[in-house]
Amino acid sequence: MQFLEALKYSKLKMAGSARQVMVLANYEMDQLKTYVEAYAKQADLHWKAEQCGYGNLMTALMAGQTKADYQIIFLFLEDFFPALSYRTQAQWTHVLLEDLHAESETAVKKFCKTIQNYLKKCPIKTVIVPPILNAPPLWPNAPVLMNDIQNLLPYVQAQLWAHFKSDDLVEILDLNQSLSALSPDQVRDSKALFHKGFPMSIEAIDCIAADCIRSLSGAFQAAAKKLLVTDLDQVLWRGVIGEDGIDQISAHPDRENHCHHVFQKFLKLLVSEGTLLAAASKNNAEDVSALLDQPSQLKKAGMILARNDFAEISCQWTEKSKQIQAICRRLNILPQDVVFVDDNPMELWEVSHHLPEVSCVAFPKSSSQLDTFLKELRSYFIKSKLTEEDKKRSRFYEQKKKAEAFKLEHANLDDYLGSLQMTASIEQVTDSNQERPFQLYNKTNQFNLTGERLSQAEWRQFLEAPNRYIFTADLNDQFGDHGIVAVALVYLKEQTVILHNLVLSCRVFNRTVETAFLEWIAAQFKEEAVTVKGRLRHTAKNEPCRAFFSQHCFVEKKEDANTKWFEAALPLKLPKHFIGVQSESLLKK
Amino acid sequence: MNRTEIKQQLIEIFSVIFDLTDQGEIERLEAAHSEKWDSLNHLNLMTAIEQKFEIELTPDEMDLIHSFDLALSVTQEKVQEKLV
Repeated sequence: MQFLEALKYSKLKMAGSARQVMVLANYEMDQLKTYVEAYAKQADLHWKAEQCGYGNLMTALMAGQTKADYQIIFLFLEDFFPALSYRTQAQWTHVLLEDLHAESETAVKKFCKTIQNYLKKCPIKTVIVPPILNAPPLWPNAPVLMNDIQNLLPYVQAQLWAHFKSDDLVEILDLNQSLSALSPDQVRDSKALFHKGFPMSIEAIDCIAADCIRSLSGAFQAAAKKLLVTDLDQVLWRGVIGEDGIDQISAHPDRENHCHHVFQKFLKLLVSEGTLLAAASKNNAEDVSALLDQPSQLKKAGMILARNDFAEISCQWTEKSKQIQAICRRLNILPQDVVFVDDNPMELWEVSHHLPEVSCVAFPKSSSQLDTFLKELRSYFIKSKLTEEDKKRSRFYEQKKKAEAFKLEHANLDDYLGSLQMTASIEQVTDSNQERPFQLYNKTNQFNLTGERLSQAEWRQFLEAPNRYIFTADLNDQFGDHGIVAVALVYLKEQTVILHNLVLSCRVFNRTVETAFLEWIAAQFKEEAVTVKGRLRHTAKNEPCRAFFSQHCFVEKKEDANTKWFEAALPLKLPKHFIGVQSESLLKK
Repeated sequence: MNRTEIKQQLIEIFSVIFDLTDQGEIERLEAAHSEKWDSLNHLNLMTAIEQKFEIELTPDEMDLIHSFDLALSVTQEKVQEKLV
């Protein structure tokens, strides 16, 4: 984005109060702030950028306070080694440079620790921009020593990664990626250092700000698709299983099968990252089972994927769009979260015509198109960070499949739900266990009574306010642990319990978890409250929860601006549920 | 790019940076008589001019530009230099 355009965007007026992005850096960040605000507004986000103050990075880190919603910590090599800076009083003597190198390990770890301590006190979503520019040219009369100093940069980058890679609130920007369009000479701008107090070119600032906004807004996470549906014949393997026979199909890594082999490897990687995989194929199910369920056949065909990598396999002679719709229903996935891969243009057209929300990608005709194909697929499944939940997702769906099969063995729903032996562990969210609930709260669309999203600051504000509580429910059944599946935000106002919002993971719909959760919540306030109130706001996606209040004997009281308010007297008259509840006693505030 | 074209583009740059809509006011703008022409907006102006006209201003030229007229003459000179 040209700087003038960025200025125009940054000056656009937006309604409501702005969220604050704090930039912590020692250099002058005015133009970065302009770009940050511009990219935020381009994404329809009303964000205002502030800076901690020129040269005040260490002071801000030591103070350990912030009122911001998001922050960018923009680092340079001189922040770790102040003696390298043009601006300090340190004399550039040969001895100083030798000492600096000798003590570099301690200095870097100490500074990383300072940032870590700061982030413990200010746990908001943070982007760290690691140093990318090497030390300023110091012209020491010793090439070996200069070489040692230049090697400090990769060491600092590696240490930052080691210190912050497992912090869910922190993302370290990949500057090699962000600045890939610029040569090193286009990144450093020595003239800008003396005139603008910032040693990088406006083009570099532009690229970095764009990626900071992408990261802070969770755009990657939000945009990531959930399910990849693939065709089988001539896509997952070479050959047509129903015609050529099981012995003729192949995905071995030889020249003819290169695309199929690499595609399977790529799919295996996606599955390990939490993407769900399904197949939609016009085939006989027995033919496909004869391959996918037989280890000897899998080996013979050079297959990387097996039956248990797939959340669903649909082999029918109906249209692919209908197969995909059925898969989506079974997995509780929306069509807009699906990518479909097929080699047949007619199938791709049919799916895109009947399900325009599904992203359709053509399988490459030759290995020369493979790279472009995989890049396009990757772009649909980029996640800024993999959570433990992502890594376990396939297992959760495996449990769900087992439960579905188990359901068929039971005469009626009550019989089935009772036999699942479900237990919910309900916990009150505190400072130490808030990451996963915060993530679930902000990504749940279908069972979300209000569709509300909260910033980290708003979440913390709710958590810390008197008489306000956040609860989670973790579900276990005879097939295993489903992890945290529900989050409720609740507060007490006079003699009323207000259910601010409740979200439920789509993996456990129709299990009566929400009933058990509501019953437990109401019981916590039976001494202080006489009624429970809740609100329902229709969103484009929350159809599955719109009957929640009426099913739980609430009465509609009023409606204003797209929000309906419901009320019920305590004790609640609730329908039967099938969940045994375990919980610690509530910490009243 | 002739003087008129350069002038029109400079007017747009000045309009965005100094939040001005009146062309006459822009053309008369001088740093010494404008509260809006502070050090930050001066830097923004230099960056916008450099990027828009694909020129590089020297520190002396940056110091010299303290009115719309001077911005126009310096920019025109640099653009012509680039073409030679």
